[in-house]
Amino acid sequence: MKPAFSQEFQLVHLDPEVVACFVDGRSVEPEHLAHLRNCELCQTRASDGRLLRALLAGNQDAASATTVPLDAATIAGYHDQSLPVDQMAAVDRRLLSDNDVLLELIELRIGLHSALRAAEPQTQLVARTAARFSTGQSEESMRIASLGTLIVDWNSELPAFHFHAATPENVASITMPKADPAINDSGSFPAPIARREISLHAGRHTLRVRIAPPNQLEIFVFDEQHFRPAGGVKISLEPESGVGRQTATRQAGIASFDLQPSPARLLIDAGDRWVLEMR
Amino acid sequence: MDDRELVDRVLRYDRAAAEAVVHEYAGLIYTIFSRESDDPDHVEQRFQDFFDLLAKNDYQMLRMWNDKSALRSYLAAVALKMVLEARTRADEEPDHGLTQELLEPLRESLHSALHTVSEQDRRIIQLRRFDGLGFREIGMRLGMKPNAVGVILHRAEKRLRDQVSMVFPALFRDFVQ
Repeated sequence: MKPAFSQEFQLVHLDPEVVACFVDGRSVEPEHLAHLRNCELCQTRASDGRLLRALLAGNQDAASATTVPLDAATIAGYHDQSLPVDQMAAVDRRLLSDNDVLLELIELRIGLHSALRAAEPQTQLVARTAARFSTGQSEESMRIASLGTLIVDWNSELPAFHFHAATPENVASITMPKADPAINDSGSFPAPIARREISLHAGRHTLRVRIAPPNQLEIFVFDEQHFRPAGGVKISLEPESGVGRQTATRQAGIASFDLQPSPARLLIDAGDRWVLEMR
Repeated sequence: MDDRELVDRVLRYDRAAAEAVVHEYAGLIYTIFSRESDDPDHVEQRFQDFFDLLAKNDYQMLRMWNDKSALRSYLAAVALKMVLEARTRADEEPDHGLTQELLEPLRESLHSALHTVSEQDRRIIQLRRFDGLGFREIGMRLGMKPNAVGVILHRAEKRLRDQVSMVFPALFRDFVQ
């Protein structure tokens, strides 16, 4: 009687001979197929066997190969050994004649395996991506909230800029002389600055804006909830003329732009999206 | 909650479920795009593009997941399609990904590794992988029990995988863990 499960992992994993039968496309008991569908180790053994076979066999019959790529569902199902037997066999044959498909499968394996010990992406990035994904909308269709207008007084002897908020109760303006660089009321971001509190999906934040001599616009978004610079904030400066768009994404720290004395829009994407008009 | 139920809830516009999908698979998707570029801005953009694509047209791409694979594998395959399309459009070589030129060295590495195993082990691998014989047939030819064939094959192929993984890390899972 053919052994069903290995002695080493009795009643846990399939015997290698059963896995071999499956890889060869021979008949396998339904309960073994069911086990294979749910067991990562047995799937890996079968998948390794198929890949070794394809690599050792080399490229055969390349001239008759079709060039239509496999769809994502098929290649993922093949990787997981969970396609119907006839489809598995069809992909097996394809691997022997089509290097593109073989490479795609290899890259899929490497991607999945690499992720087992990969670093997680920035929390802020995940939070804002999750917020957008949960609305079922792409970036282009997201509502943009206004932060008001930042008016820069270019003719003043002292550099001056003011927030003119979208609503009167949010008015916050500041005028600071550039002659006093020692003032630093933000800890990590030297004055003169203009501040604006903004509520983001990820919590309460402060937007800090500074114009550094000669014409450098510096933006800093601070995560007040966690008391640290906000990460993964994407900021774009779009001149009204449409020429000279600048974009900066910061894991943390200050985003800096060359500021021209002409109207522009500052787009801030930190999960929620904000626009600040500049005059 | 299993992946099927999670996706069904996303398709019923359950926002918490949609956020859970992103949080669950963020590391995987980020890793796939990180392999393609060293520029964090580029990786972040591709990461967001991926979930935008998944959400596009009322989650059309998510609806195409058909239970014939784990959701994890399907999402990785979709991300990989994006990578391959971008490569084709830009007609550029990837920073870290495999190319056709690397496939032959991979095969050569495997064939070289074959010479590091014993004559008997190599014979079993050849009968199994080249000639497609089952354990019983191999056992009959070499005068062994099928179980013994399985054990020898398993150990010999583990050595092959280890050798190849020295040159192509993460190709085989047991090298990663």
